Amino acid sequence: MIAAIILIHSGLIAIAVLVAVVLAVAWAEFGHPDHARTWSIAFALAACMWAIELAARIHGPAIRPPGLPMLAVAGCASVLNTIGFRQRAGQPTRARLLFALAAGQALAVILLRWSALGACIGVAPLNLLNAAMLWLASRTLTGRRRGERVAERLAAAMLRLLAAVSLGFFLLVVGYAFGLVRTNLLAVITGTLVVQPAIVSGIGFFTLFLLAADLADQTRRLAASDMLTGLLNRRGFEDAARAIFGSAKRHGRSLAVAVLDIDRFKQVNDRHGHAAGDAVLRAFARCLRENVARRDLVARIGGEEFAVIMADVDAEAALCAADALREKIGAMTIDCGAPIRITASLGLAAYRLGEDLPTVLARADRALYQSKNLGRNRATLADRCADVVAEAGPT
Amino acid sequence: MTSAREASKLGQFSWALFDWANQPFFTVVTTFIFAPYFANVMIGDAVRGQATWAFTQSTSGIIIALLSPFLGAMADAGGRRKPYIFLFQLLLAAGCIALWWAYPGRPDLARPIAWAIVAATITPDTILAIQTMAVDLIGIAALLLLVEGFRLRASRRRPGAREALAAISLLALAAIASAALSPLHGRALLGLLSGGLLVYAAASAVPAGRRRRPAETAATAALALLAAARFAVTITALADPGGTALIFSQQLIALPAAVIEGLFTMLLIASDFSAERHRLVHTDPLTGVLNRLGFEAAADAALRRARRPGRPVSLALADIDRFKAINDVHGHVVGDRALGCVARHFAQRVDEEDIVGRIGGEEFAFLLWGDDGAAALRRIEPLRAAIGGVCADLAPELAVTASFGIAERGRGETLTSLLDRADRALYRSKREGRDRSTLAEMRD
Repeated sequence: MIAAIILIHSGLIAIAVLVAVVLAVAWAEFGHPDHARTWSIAFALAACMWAIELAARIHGPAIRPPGLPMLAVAGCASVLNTIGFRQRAGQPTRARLLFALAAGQALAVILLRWSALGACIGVAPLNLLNAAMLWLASRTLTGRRRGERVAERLAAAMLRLLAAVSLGFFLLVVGYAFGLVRTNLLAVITGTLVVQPAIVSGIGFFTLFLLAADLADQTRRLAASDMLTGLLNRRGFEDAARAIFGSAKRHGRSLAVAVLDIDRFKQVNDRHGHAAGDAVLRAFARCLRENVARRDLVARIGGEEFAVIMADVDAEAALCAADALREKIGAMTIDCGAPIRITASLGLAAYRLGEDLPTVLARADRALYQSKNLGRNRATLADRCADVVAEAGPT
Repeated sequence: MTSAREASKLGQFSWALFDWANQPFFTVVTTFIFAPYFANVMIGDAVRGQATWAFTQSTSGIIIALLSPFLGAMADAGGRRKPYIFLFQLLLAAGCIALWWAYPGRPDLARPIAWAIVAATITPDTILAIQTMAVDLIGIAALLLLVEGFRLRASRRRPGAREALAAISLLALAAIASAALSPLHGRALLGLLSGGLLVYAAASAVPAGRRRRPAETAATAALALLAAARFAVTITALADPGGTALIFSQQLIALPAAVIEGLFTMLLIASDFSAERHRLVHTDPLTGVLNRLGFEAAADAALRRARRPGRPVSLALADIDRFKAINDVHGHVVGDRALGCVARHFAQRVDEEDIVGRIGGEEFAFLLWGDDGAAALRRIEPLRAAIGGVCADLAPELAVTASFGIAERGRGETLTSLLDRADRALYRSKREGRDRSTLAEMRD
């Protein structure tokens, strides 16, 4: 018996130490994220907790309810784990409140020991605390944040499952204490013990999984975005546009692509310096983002060249929107040392069924060229380009 | 309070539980552990973005690893074939085939394994013998896949027929040996084989020719530890004539092994993403050399790390002359290409420990180790003279030149001050007619 307990406890200690080490390495290597450190401390505490428990069981009776030091440390580990999840989500940690709950749990154990219910209920408050903490942690992964990822949904489901297991054990122990559940208490205690490796390694793996998923997400976003303006870069634009074009093709939706170029941008750079040029690009990007529909795609596809894909608009509506955008840009004043005003030329192309991105982009580019030729600060629709060229041709 | 009767009941109960824990419980725990991998394979969220083939490979290995103990439980189930075993094997085979199907051309080894399982399922006789052997062989195959995963990650080379052949012959040898030897020796051999494979995995955790990252050091250490444990368990248990100690301890080691393999695989995945993120933030996409942020971070770290006193270090700044004119005359495309050419030229011509970055539109910076100001000037001069040559092919009548400013680091001088002095020297080069290098005077 004692051999089995020693084995399970040493296994738990080993797993917790491993997870703590791995999270510490992750903290050191991945740019010191606070939540990795918190999680690492939580698992180190968990290892301590089982070490305490193991020592107590070797020197004392092998079968007994968990001791108070173990419960206190276990409460702290549980709370720290949740704090890590809150830090990751950027939410206020409420550390004081949570630690107060852990202290309350330990206090409840002391009070319950003296009560008529006896020692058998000892582990119940910890189970309740664990369930609450796991549920709180799962809350940080779901909800109001836009576009929650598969990794987060999966981790949230796992945490909820573990919360349910903890709650189940709580109900079982309470039911046993009040004589509602006829079962072998020792079976319950052993069951708790045997489920522990699963819970510990499960949480450990999912914390690490979330770290990896976050890094993957940041990497993907960095690779697709333009550092200066925060918009999509050319690569990101092409990837996203391909998806939009695919869906437009399948559902027969209308689309319009606008290509924008800041007029005489080189003069801004020459006259006011590169810093001012960067400020202009940033302001231009902000103006674009603020003045297009939410689901429209905005990207910086070249030095001073931008592109917008407008969803569900026909050519006329797109031209209206483009003109409005152009006016907004013209009305903007960028202040960096001296007030700078800029204008932009636009080329527009409405998507024709079956066309691919490069074709539409090329038509929009030709329209942009037309806008530049016609004196800048204007928007031209690609389908009318040919007529305009024909009219303007002989002169 | 617990009575003696209850205690003895608990003893029986927990031993029964522990026995049981070696089989399906193990599977439940490992399923928990590897759920993220399942998600990655099936849904392909986070890790697939850049999933190296290696990790898909090790994922398939891990899936088999966690299924093999389940198969073992089936094989031990009273020696009689039950319908659910049949069903389970079909599911397992379907899983392997699905995995192979979802990643065409990737887990090559999943295909033969799947067909082997199908074959084992439909053969009417000698099921038990095949099953028992299959459990051990699947364990070895899983380890092979894992090792292959680490190796691929390090070398980024797809395995060819040679690797597949080596794996299959190893498996065949193991099968023949374990069938020919006594069961005890067969198991011991398999234990030694897995230990050896783990050593190979540990050795493959770090790619050659690059500084190892902390995650890789940790992974190497953990895998080596695991290999040592496997060897130790096998060798000590051989002393037990019954062989039960060996079986017991091999199964005992299975859970920590799965945890170690899974945890460190995940850590390496995360580490690769972290390195990629760092690279994206710190390099200039146009030229491929460090950007301003990257150069300052790397140079700052290098200067602070250089504890050895008296080793001279110099900073050189280069600015392409009249770059705006190049853009205006030849167009932006040629301008961009010229930048790329010059950056490549610079990156090729400096030493490995030197740092090169593009810190402005047409401005580059070098941190040159082991050179005092005069030596740096001697190294920079041929570099400068060759610039026109490397860009000559881009456009007719394109003449690219650059001006340089060089400053030797004074005692305890910061990077900012060094950059400032080099910038002033560069300005002097520009004023004195461009296409030349100027050495800044030493700071007092």
